[in-house]
Amino acid sequence: MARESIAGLIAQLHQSKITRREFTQRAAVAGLSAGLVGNVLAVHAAKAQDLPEAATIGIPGTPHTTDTSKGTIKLYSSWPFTGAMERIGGHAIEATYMCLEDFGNAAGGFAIEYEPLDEGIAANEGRWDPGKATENANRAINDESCMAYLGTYNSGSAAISVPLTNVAGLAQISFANTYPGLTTSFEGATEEGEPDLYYPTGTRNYMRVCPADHVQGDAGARWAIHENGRSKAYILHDNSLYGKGVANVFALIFAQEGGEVLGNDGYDPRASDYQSLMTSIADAGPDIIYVGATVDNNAAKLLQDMRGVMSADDVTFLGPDGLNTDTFVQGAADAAEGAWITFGGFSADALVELGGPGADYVARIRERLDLGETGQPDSYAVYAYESMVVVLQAIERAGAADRTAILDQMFGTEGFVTLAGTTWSFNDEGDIDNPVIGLIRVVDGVLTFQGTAN
Amino acid sequence: MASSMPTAPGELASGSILQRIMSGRQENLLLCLAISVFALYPLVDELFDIGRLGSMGSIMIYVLLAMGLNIVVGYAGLLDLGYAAFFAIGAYTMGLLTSPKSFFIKEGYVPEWLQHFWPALAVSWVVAAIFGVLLGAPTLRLRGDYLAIVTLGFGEIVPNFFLNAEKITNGTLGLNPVGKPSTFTIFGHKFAFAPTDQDNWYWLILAICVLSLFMIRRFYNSRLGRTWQAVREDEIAAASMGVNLVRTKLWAFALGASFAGFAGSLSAAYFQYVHPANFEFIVSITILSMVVLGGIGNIYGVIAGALLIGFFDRILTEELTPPLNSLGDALSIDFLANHNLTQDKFLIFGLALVLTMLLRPEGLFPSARRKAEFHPEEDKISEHEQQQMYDIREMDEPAVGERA
Repeated sequence: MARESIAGLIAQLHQSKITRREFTQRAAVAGLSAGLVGNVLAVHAAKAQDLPEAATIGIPGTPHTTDTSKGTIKLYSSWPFTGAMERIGGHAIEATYMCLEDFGNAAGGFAIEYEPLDEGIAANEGRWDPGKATENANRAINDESCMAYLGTYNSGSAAISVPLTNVAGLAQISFANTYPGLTTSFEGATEEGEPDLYYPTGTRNYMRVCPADHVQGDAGARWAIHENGRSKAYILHDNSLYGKGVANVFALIFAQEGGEVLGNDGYDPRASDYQSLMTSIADAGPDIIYVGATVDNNAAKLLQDMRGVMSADDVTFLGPDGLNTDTFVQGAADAAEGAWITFGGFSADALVELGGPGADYVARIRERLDLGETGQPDSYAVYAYESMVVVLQAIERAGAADRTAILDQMFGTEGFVTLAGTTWSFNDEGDIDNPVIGLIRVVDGVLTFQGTAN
Repeated sequence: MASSMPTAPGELASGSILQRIMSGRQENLLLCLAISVFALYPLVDELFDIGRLGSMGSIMIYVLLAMGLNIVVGYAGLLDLGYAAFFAIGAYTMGLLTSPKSFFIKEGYVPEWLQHFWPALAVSWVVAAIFGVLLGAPTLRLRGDYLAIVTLGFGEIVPNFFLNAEKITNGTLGLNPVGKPSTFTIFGHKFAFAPTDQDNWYWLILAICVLSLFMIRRFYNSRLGRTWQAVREDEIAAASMGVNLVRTKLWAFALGASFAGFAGSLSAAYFQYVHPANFEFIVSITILSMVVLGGIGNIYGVIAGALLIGFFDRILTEELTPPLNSLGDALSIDFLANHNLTQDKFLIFGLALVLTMLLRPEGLFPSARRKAEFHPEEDKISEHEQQQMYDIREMDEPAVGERA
């Protein structure tokens, strides 16, 4: 039998045309040394670990090995995942676990252990608690094997934990903090002294993979004026840090772009109805109502009462990603039809349509969460997956259990390819430099991706 | 019979005093022991690498709150469903006096000497007490459900005020950072209070808890404490006996609120964050649950209730998950192997409350008086007391024809 080409054998192995066993036997016949066979198989094993398509995202060309000979690195995450936060927090944890498993629970020669810490307490209905935020951060800091801290979900909680991890030199990466002041200064949306007050050492250690509120408010306002053709806005918010922040930026940009802001008020999230509020707003004659709120703050009822006095043809409803959930659509029922929502990224359906890693991610997270073929995983879970990729690839590149080296690698992330195929790098402030704001509309009772707003 | 011989009044009295002294000494001894155990916890935590010091600090703040609420609900019998309002007032007092984001500091209304943790702590205690009186005053004529509704309303108004008065309170942004104690040295040990100095924070909170416990015990054993109990048992009877209802109730509200002020200002400095969302109705209900579960009226029962609920909420479910998963692995039961017990927190919490109320409605460690109310069948008068009553009656009753 004629000797086979060694390069051809390696190619066949990588293309999965032959098994490892067949490769070993035929490589021996072809005269390949045992050492080289070992090397080729190791590379193949590493590539085999990248088999899930979702795990091919990140910085292109980053090597990945499943070797764990250097020891163990611990990663902690901190966000609420019980009670009111069970769905959002639970989905994010599942996405993080999925990512870790996709990478073979290893990176940079280390076995990676991940422990999700609950930031909520029953005494606060499962929502985040400052005591738990402090405790969780200290737990990660005091664990010498911990090299990165994933979280938090709530920006208020990050305001507590970032100064702690900053002093400890521990990298912190969030999948959901959207308050601008954590990383940057933006007139009208941040406080005096921010963001420096969160970084006592003067060195940045915090980054986030989701677009901040000012980016979303800005994109929403520009779209409303230039694409949707609206000129008179009435703005409402739920009096939360998030809702008010995004609403204020919308108001600022809407006015800057030549629109008229008829009002910018908080509403009572616990009111039984908003009919009189909506009647008085209708009298002011807006052609768009922007609601900065999360779904649990009665936004669906607000939309229902709005549609009682203002039709979808005359007045546009626009909201931020806090409303990008089926719960909102189901709560508002028929009134939800035609409502517009901005979201930092792509919806699950859009990812499926795009195919590739995003579609693979959606299919497998649906399976893991037992959502069926059309169920919607929480929209922020995508970012939880991507933030874990940032951490694992940084460990891979650092190749050492060294907090500073891993922090530098994480902050130095450039050309990161997302599940949707877009690319970003971290800027000097820890924000992504190419945030994409998706535009979603309720069509026939379904949240339907319409394209991007920026 | 020797056992039925009446005891001389002097002998009985001296025996009773001795008994009281002994029981008081025992109580103090046990208390010192318990405080020592708690004081040593940071060392144990470090030695065994437990990593729960942060949780213990938060739990101790709940202990402080529960002790304060017990004055109003347990001692004076006034149902307060808005206790978190005073917690908020304490926290915001600390925040507004010490945070660089405070409106009052920016405008130069706060003198420099007051912009520090210790004076602000004292002021927050007083401010919360004043608000306690302000709430108490309009509720003096109310009882039971009506009082509960008014306090509930107050509990809703206060956090909403802090949320909406954004020019003063910073609204949804909250106040961050907040002043903390400056570093000091005692016996060569340096006490710093950075957020990572968990042991020093824990000792500080524990010290304030112990101080509060001492104060509350003194109040309870004073004339004021006895009038609280009298009012709780029967307002009309107490008023007939000369108890000033207005003063008694106002003191209860003021002192109860003042300890919430302590707790609020401590938590603001400890967490370096004050936000209205941390003082919602659920906080009042949780503190009330601690008081009811532990045993209304008994300060030690209330402390136990707070420790139990806090320990369960913040530590137990997380610590029990790994052994549960290991058990699942050993028994090859997938559900147990992969289950995170933290997610069952609410179920277990609810069940524990329902079961406690069904099986032991007086709480786990009730006061003797409260226990007697729930279990009248166990309220036996001792033979000795019966004998004494009989003897007294015998002595007092005039013999037939004596008057004549």
